[in-house]
Parts: sequence; structure tokens; C-alpha cells
Amino acid sequence: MRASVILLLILFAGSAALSVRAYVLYERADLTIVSITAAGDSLLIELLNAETGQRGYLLTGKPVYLQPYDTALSTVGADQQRLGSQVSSVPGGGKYVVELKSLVATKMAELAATVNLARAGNHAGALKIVNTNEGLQVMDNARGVIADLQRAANTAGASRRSALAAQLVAFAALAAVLAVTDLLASFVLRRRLRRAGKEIGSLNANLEQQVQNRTLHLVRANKHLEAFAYSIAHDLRTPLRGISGFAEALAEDYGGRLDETGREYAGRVQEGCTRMATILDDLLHLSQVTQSDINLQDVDLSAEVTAICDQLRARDPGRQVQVTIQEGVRVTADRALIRSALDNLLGNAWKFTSRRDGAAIEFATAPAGDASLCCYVRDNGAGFDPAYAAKLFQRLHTPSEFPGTGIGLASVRRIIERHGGRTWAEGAVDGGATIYFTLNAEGTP
Amino acid sequence: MNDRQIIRTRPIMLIEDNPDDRDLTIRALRKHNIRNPVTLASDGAEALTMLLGDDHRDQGNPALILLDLYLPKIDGLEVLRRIRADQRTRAVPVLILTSGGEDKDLRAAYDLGANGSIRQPVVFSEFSEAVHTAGLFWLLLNQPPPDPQP
Repeated sequence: MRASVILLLILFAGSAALSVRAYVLYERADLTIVSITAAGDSLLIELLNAETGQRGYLLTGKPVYLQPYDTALSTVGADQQRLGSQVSSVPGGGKYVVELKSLVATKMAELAATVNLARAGNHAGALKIVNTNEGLQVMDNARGVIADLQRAANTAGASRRSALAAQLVAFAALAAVLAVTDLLASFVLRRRLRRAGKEIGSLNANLEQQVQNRTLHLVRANKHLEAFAYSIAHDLRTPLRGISGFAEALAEDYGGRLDETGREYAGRVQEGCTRMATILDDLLHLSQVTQSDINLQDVDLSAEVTAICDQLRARDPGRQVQVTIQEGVRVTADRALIRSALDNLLGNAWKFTSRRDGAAIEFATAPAGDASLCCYVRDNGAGFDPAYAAKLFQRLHTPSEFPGTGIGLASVRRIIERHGGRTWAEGAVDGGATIYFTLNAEGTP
Repeated sequence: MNDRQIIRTRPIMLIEDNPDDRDLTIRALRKHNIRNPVTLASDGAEALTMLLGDDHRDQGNPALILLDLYLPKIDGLEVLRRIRADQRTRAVPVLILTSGGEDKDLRAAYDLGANGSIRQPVVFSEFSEAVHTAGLFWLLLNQPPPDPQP
């Protein structure tokens, strides 16, 4: 549609140009007729002037009468040339010009002969030539040829003008039709565009509504799931307590009646219960982290980290751990949630450096890529395989030499995400681990 | 008979609907040589009848009440509210049994006058320790309120 509008516009311009050209040619054709007529008249007048001069001189013998003759002698050629250049557009024009040329030559020769005879004193001879009436005849012939040429020019010019006029009308009409069509087409195009625009607009609005509905639905479903996970974790504790309790009672009260394998089995049941209890506790914690309200306030992270590390030291006085804490790291966050995240991160660092001589834990900030504040907790402990860095925050408990990490880091991530931040990890097997997280610096909501 | 002996012979009331928890709690008490008789109530209504019903008052108040908050018929908070509302039982020590993660209910229990709480961890040995320590304090060290004059 748009292409055809442009094509129509080009065609309109072309036909408009053609109609202008036709108009110019039409005017020029008129000019040709006028100049041929004028040139023919002028030539005839010059011939008459020459003859009049000759007659006067022959009658009076006074050279003054020869002046028109002399003038004509010099201009006749130019008049003929002018005529010759104009007749190309007249059919048979060349023929008239050739004919006229010979007639003019004859006339001028006759005039020259008589004037020369008269100049030599032979008036009788001159008059004798005049009296032959040949000059008169030539003159009549020339007048006739000029009239014929003028008529032919007129006819040719008129037919050319009418052809050009027809062309002009045709091209102008075509241009007009094209212009109207183009206008119509662009009008239709614009209307279609407007309608399409409206349709897109309503589709967009619809899509937005759909996305909103879907999001609402997902949020609700997610909430249900989280509440469900919470109640499952909670409800599973009661029967697990029974299993654990009776396994312990069995071992304590009836251990003597079991052989070694039997006692080991009872121990295995208790170990399994302990592991499962940790998982359930972490799941409950994760749900609480997810569902609790966020209460933003200014938090001195450095102070929180110091307090947590003091607690870790008090709980484990035998450990020698060098703790480095950057002072004055302040953020806007929910104190309880952030405290819980730091508990987790520092607890991990403490745990994973337990087999390291010269264990070191560091809390500091790093340059962030954006407006947020990037903090990290670094240790020189057992580390992890970098290939699993992304999975570190998703993993559930897997029995390992350092149990109880997966959900903890998932909670950390959930807490940071609820503050609009990001978490990521760097590390190497036996090369320590660094957990990064971003938060809003104090004063930025 | 001195007060301590009286306390020793007075019963501990365990209000708990889950038979596993009930038996394991009794076992924990016995294991730590807490010899007081244990009266059992498996829902809130039964507990209130035993504590406040005139037919059951002849034994006097229990030395200690261990109260689970989630009970059939009448829940633990309501039981606590009625114990505290009654002139005869308002001073009886009540310890709440919780499994953790019920902050709101625990706060409500303290508001209603609970004396303390014991978390019931999944790992039973920890619970057993807690019962022992709580028993030592509430049954041996703590000077209980004298029974109201009839």
C-alpha cells in the first residue's frame, strides 16, 4: 500500500512534468509561426524595397534612389537565412526555401543587371529588361511562394499546437487523476495505519492485563506453595520426633539385648533423624525468611559481623581464626533478615576453615557494577568446585564432610533478593570461598 | 512434711494430644529421676475438667503444668487463659511445649501468663535434657505458691 502511494506520486510527478513540457512546446510552436510569417514578410518587403529603389533610379537617374536597393542587397541574405532556420518544423518547408532562394537570386540578378546598365548610361537597355515583365513575374512568384510557405507554416503550427494542446490536456488530466488517486490511497493508508495502531494498542493493553493476571496468579500460587512447604516441614517434625525418641529409647533401654549390629542400626536411625531435623529446621527458616515482612532500617553491617564472630569464638574457644572486618559498612535493610544471612555466611566460613591452620575470615566491600553496595565474606577454607558455583545456592542437603549448607545459602540468596540485591560465589577446591552480595547503601531506600 | 516433699508428691500435669510425645515426655521425666505422678490430659476440655471441675479438685493443684498449644477441642492458649482466670489455679506454674517457629503463639502464651517454654527439638536427647533442667528448677528449686486457703 505504501509502495503504491509512492509509485503514484512518482507517476504524478512524471505526468505533471510532461504536461508542462507540452505547454512549453505549444507556446514555442506559436512563436515559430510568428517568426516564419515575420521573416517571409520581411523578405518580401526587402525585395519590394530593392525594386522600388531600382525603379526610382531608372526613372530619375539620381543615385539617392538606390539607397533602399543597396540596403535590401545586404539584408536579403540574412532574411533568407532566418527563414531557412525556422522552416524545419514545416512539412516541405525546405522545398519552399530552395524555390524562394532561386527566385530571390533571379530577381536580384535582374535588378543588378538593370542598375548596372543604367549606371553605364544605357537607360534604354535597362528599360528593355524591365519591359520584359520577367521581373514582375518573378516577384509575383516569390510573393506566391512566401504566402504558400506562411500558409504551410500556419497549418503545420496549428496542427502541432492542437496536438500539443491535446497532449497538455491529456497529461494534465492524468496528473490530476494520479494526484486524486494518490490522495485517496494515502488517506486509505493512513486510516488503515490508524486502525492497525489502535489494534496494536488494544492488543498491548490486553497483553499487559494478561501478564498482570498471570503474575498475580503465579505470586498467589507461589505463596500457597511456600505456605504448603512450611506446614509440611512443620508437621513432619512431630512424627520425626517420635522416631528419634523411640530409637533413642530403644538404644538406651534395650541396647543390652541387641547385638552390635542392632545397636549400630539404632544409631543409624538416630543419625538419619538428626539430618532430617536439620533439613526441616532450614526449610522452616527459609519459609520464614520468604514470608516475613521487610522492615527497612539503617544497619551497621560491620557491627553485626563483629557480634556474630564474637559469638562464634565464644562457642568454639579452641579455634584460632584471624577475622578481618572492614569498619563502617552501613546499609539500609531489614536487620533481623540481614543478621540471619550474615549468621549463615559467617557460620559457613567458620565451619569450612575448621581444618585449616591459619584460618582467616574477611568481611569487606568490593566495587559494585551499579549503584548498590557490594559486600563479601571470604574464607580460606575448603572452598568448592567453581563448576558448581551457580548451584551452590540451590543445593539441598547432600551428605558430605561438611553437612548443612545448601538451604542455608538458599536462605541467604532469598534474603538478599528480597532486598533487591544479588548473590554470587567465587572459589576453588581447597582454595577458600568468597560469597558476594549486594545491598543498598545506607540512605538509599 | 516439708514443702519440698509436698511438691515431690504432687503430680505433674501433661496436656498433650500426641501419644508419642506423651510417652517420650514421661520417659524423659523418669529417666531423670523425677518421680512425681503424671496426670495426663489429651485435649483442652479434659484438662480444664481435671483442673477446674469440682469433682477433681480434691487432689489440689499440680506442681507443674506442661502445656502443648495445639490441642483438640479447646486449644492450649484458651486452656491457659482459663487457668489464669481462675482464682484457684492462677499461680500454678505453666510451661509451654513448643516445636519452634510459632513466635506469635508463644508471645500470646506469655501475654496470658505462661511461666516459660520448652522447645521440643526433633532430636529427642536435647528435649530430654531440657525436661531434666526444667524439672530441676520448677520441681526442686522453685518455691511454689502456697495453695489458696479453702
